[in-house]
Amino acid sequence: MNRPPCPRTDDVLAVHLDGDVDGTSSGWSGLEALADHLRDCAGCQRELQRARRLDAALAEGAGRAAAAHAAADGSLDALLGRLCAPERLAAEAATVAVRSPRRTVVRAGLAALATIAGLAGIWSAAAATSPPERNAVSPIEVAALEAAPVAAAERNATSDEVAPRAAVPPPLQVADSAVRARPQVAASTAPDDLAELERFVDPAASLHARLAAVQRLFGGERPRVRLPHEAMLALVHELAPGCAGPAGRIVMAAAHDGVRGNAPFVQWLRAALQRIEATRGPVPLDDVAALLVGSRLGVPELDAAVLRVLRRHPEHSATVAAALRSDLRRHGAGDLLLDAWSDLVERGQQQDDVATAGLWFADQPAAVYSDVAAALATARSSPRRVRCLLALQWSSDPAHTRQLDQRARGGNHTEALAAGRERHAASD
Amino acid sequence: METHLGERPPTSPRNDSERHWLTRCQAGDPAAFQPLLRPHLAGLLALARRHCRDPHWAEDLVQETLVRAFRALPSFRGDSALRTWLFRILVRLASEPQRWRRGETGPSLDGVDVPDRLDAVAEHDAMARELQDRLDEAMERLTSKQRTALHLRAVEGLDYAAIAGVLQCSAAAARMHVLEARRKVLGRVQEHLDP
Repeated sequence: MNRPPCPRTDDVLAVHLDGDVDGTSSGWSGLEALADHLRDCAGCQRELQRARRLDAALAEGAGRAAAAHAAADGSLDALLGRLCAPERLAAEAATVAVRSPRRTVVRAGLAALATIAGLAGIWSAAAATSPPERNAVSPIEVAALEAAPVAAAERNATSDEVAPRAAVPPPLQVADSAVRARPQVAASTAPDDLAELERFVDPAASLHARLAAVQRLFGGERPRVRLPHEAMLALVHELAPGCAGPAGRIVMAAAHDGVRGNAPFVQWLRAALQRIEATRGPVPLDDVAALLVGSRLGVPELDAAVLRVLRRHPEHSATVAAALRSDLRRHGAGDLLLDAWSDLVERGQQQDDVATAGLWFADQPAAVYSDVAAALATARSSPRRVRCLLALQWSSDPAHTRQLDQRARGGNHTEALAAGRERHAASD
Repeated sequence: METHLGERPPTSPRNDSERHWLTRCQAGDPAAFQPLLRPHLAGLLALARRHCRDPHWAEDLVQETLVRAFRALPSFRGDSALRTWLFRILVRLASEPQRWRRGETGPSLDGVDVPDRLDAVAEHDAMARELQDRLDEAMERLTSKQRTALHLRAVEGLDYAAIAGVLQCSAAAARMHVLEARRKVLGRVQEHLDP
């Protein structure tokens, strides 16, 4: 650590730079004595000059950054209008019902305990068995995106499964067969690109041909290809369902990697998400497809846009959760889900309980639970740790089970409940 | 009477305007929120950028701050300046760094043409950019409280008492955060600041 050149430098800076003249500086009496010292002390003079330059440079940098940010919207007023339009704020305020996470979790825990006690009387044999197996969900895709963006899945819930898992709604999956009603691509512009796109979206084309088309469209040689709007739309509709089978996964993973680095496509998605944000009522199918793809790319600006969409349209929580079940996102999916959940709890639209955790986290890929476990280790706020613990209840990874067991025996009552103390109480 | 740099005198025109919009806002007029917040938006953005290098996350943080402020405005009693109160909300939200600081990468030099020689103006600009990059990096290494305290002091001109209000600590602690932060940052960039 850098030590000041003189023991009085801090006082000199506090008084001369920060205007701290009300006597809070310790060991220093009177401004005249300070002035005398400063006149004679070269070290303090130098530090004062440097500190003044530093403060000026910080102010200049901050001013530039804020101005650049506002300029992206045209002006500060335009940015303000976008961030806090009156009708939007009114809608936000109408949902104010901030709940105490502690109370909610305790309530959920007590309900679970009561349920377990009741079930124990009926199913004494079942009560003696091990705790319910985690992640027993096996969704079946039933609906196509033409009718709804995501398909509800039947859950293989066994009859002896204890609450609160029994109350969890089935996790939604994007149907593999969804979104086949693609818009027709206009063939009048960029014929080479459109031909590649047609090859990529052609379900009859071979895996090799589709992969090659993706490479030619978004590979290193042509990272900035800009497709026309209709082609972007067709591409989004092709990407939205995710993948079917290992071969489909290879193609889709390559395509997602490709579009992730394509700035025009990312900007197009961002515009679509902003459109959803501004939409009242049902979201058009094209924009739902954009939401599915935007959730998967792991681009910071799209993540921020997705969160804003969910604040405005919480009914699409399941859409985003379903998008991430396809395991096409490289990293950060768990963080996005945790953030979205936190936002909706804060607005009183969701709760901190196992059922809500299931909505977001049931049947997610292993990488999601790894994100959550990492978040649990570093989260500073208790509500976030509680959400991490509730989410990890849906992981089947033994390491996460051990992590939960440790927390369940920990000192924090709320977090212990979220980690499943009731299970331990029942099994002990 | 103590003078706090961060608190505005009660008779300033800006303060009168703020009180006017605040009263309307608290009376339930949502249209008054934008004019009330307009003078503080740049400051909020700048502080958010100190907590999230990615501008989109900074914008998200500011938006969330505005939503929380809108909700809590009816209960705002004016014990502190509105600006200080807004900063406090933002700093509280930003206290979960995982939320607002992820997905960040340093500036990439890929595809940037670096000329062999620079003219005088370009050289000055390049040095200024270099200083800003070093400053950003040094600020990144501070603790959240130190970073916030130095930003509020150097950029916003808040005094120790107002900074303490934002950070929810004593004025003495705020003073310590400012001085310590300045010392650390100077230690990393002083060669760029010396004439």
